[in-house]
Amino acid sequence: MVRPLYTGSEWNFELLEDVYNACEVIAYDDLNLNIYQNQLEVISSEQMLDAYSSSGLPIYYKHWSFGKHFSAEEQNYRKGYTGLAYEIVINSNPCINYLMEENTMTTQTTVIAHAAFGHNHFFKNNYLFRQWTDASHIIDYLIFAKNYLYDCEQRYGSDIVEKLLDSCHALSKHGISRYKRPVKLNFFEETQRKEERDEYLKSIYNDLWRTLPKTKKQVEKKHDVAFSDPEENILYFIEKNSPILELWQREVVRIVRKISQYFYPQYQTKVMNEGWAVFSHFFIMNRLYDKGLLTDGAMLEFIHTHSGVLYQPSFDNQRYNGFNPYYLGFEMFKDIKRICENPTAEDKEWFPDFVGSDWLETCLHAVENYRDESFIRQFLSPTMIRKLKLFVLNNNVDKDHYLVEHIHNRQGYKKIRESLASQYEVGNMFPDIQVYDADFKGDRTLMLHHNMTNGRSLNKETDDVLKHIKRLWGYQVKLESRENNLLKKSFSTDAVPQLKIE
Amino acid sequence: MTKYIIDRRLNPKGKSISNRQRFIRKAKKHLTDRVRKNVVDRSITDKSEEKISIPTDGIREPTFGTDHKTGEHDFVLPGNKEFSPGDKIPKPKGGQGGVGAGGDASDQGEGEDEFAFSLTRDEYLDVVFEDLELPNLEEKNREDVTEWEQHRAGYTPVGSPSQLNIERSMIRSIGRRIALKTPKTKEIKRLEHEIEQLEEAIKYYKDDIKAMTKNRALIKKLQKEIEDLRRRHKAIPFVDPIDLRFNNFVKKPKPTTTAVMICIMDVSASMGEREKELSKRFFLLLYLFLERKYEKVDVVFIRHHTTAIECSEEEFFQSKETGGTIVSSGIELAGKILKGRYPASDWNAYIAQASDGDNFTSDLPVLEDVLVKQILPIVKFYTYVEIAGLYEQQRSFWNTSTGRSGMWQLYEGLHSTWGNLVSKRIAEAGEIIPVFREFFSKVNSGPISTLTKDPEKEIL
Repeated sequence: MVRPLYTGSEWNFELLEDVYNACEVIAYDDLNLNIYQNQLEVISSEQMLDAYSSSGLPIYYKHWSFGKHFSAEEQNYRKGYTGLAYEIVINSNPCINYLMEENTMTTQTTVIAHAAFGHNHFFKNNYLFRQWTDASHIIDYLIFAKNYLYDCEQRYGSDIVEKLLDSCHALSKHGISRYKRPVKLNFFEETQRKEERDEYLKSIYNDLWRTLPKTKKQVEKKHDVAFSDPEENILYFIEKNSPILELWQREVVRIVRKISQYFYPQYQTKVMNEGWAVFSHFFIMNRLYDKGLLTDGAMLEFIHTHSGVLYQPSFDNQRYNGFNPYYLGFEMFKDIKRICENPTAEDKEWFPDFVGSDWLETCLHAVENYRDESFIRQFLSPTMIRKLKLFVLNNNVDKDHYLVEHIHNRQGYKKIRESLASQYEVGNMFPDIQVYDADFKGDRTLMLHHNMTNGRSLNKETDDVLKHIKRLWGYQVKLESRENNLLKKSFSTDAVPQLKIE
Repeated sequence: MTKYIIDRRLNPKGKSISNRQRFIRKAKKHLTDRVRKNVVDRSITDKSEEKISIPTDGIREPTFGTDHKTGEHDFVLPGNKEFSPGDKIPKPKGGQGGVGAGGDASDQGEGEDEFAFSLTRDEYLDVVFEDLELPNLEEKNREDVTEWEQHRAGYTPVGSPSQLNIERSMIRSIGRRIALKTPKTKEIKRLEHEIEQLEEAIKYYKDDIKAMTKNRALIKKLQKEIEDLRRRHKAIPFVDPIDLRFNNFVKKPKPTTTAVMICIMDVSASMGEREKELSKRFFLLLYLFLERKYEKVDVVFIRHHTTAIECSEEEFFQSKETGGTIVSSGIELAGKILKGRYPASDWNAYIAQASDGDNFTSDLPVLEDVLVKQILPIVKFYTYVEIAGLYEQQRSFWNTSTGRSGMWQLYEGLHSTWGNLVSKRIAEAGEIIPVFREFFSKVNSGPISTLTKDPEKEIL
């Protein structure tokens, strides 16, 4: 006779351990998960609020915007507008899982199954995370960043550091080279690199050189930073080419850029990541119950929590706020399992590749090799479209009505799938803005191009962002919105050069 | 695979505090405006947190984004009930935010211009009383000192064993042993080892073999050396009583951080609801301010018309009286209370008086006498707030010399000799904060310090 792991709702450290071990057996034997070592950390609700305000990272440099987010979160939480998350999990090795002390034992079990196994497996195996992040070194890098910025504040004053960070943050979503493989981060190498550079600068410093007249050749050489192709990574371009930034300021730009890159895979895999974590916890909890390790009461409580997390209102519901990634992702993984096990004639026509194959293998393959956009493009089935009753609306500003273009019927499936997938395309989340030209030999005006699609222009914050770019660049910044090479709209800052950040 | 379960709950809290302070500093300008406006409307006894909304001007974090009100785009929604392809759905009037792209647009309504969050009471009062200071603040020592505070005061060579400072003592012990050239145990061990090796070498030779005499002599020499070292080692103690250092504490009398605030208000017929309300606001501000500077603040309420009585807060603000006004009665009572219950040696006394300026002319000389003899020498600060009439005409009339009340003229005259007496006129709620700030601003507290050096002595 198997006895349940626990009976009450109170948790303690021994129970956490037992539950973890029980989950681990299922995760390895039944789900074939491959995970980083886990580190479970029990925290209080206050600490959870703290973690919120720094994007969930355990260590972050200091900046007022985190204080602003903290104040807003705290307000919402205190007034009861929002609850706190049950957990936060960090893509690091070992994988850090925060468990809230207020959670009941059942919630803790769910959270362990969800984060310590589901998310953890996703972090370790998904190709985007493997390419873009270095889980073993992120914590070290964050420590480096925090210390570096602290030193800068001490040395150059917190005002200037704050301004620099403000400007960098405005561009943080434009600090990624999507088509180049990033260099992995490493605390020791970064520190060493910085020290070597400082050392080198010190060793070659000789005040006499300054007094030498420059030859014409040298003058030309200095300005001859040619670039041929437009650069999509604005922060990178500024870091390397800004005429006014000092060395330490370039390092700060680099830090913001690198940390922003760490988050890059996360907003491209929200649906899949959450979907897989929910799928894992749902599977593990049910297996625990089947084995007799959970009481009926615990199972009922779990189902209640589970369905709360997975709530997806319709578009006409007041609470509708876009697609719930938990729901969409979970349903899709469940659907893949169904197609593998009990395919209909329609599924056979749509998914000849994996109909009847091993469901677990197919799911694990999807986790490894897809991101939200490609995942939806590949796996969203007509069954799902019918279940969600999806439809495509066209919004044309010039018309006084929305047009229903496609609904869940035979003609619509492919189009709906296409539309939904492109909604999750990273290129469509942020406007496509690139550095087009910088007049190095002339007045150093920085020219940016915005590739406009379907007449969708930039919003009213654009001028403010340009001011931030100017702060980093020092000279006038212009931006042109073009569609099919036709100039539609242009923005510009003032032309007064500002030769250092102040 | 192994795992770790860590209890982080005991880690230091408030990791966000420094970020929050940065944020408040950033938002300072707007915050100050809002808070100072808000403090006027704030209810008097409210001690809860303060919800503040500030314009997002200074704290916006702009990023490049698409304007959802331009161009053409498709978007997918769940939950179709009745639509067929080709259906046209009229857009809701007044903006297209309703069914924006994935709900992004719908959030951009009013929330964009104001950012709402809560200030704690301390943060709130910090803003209200920023740059303000109490003039003539003095630490008072009670005669019958009962409270002492222990302060660290370096180290002493004598003390109780429980206060032994091991680190300091050991540093001295090591220093002494180095100075006296105490042999190290390591050195003795090394010599012993050497002897062992030598003995090993000569073990198999007979005593009279000549070749080994040198070694034997060496062993003897070493043995003697060791003996010598041991003797010296023994002679110099590891810890000597002269090494010992103890944490030293001294007792200091705890400075009195108590204040008494006496609120005096004219409740004669001429004081209406408006006048009372304004006075009340002023009293509250002063109370909040004192409360931040002192550990304990006692408040005494005195109302007066022709006679004065001490009363509770409720009675003070609510009861209605009629009749004429004799201000000196109230001041006299205040003097009595101060003398009886709040001796100047123990209490910092503050008096706040509010009135509409009416007083019997014959009372003025009496008032002056009471103030100069009984009150002004012992109080830290005396604020007089005159509630001006509601109408602008009256205020301009007041500005002429004939329009000034007798009280006002008297107080103004006293101010030149008694810097701790200040008076201001208030006509509407919005003026209270500026007036209050004028009373207590750091710059203005300068001339007031011309107050006599030791008021207590003068009384005695």
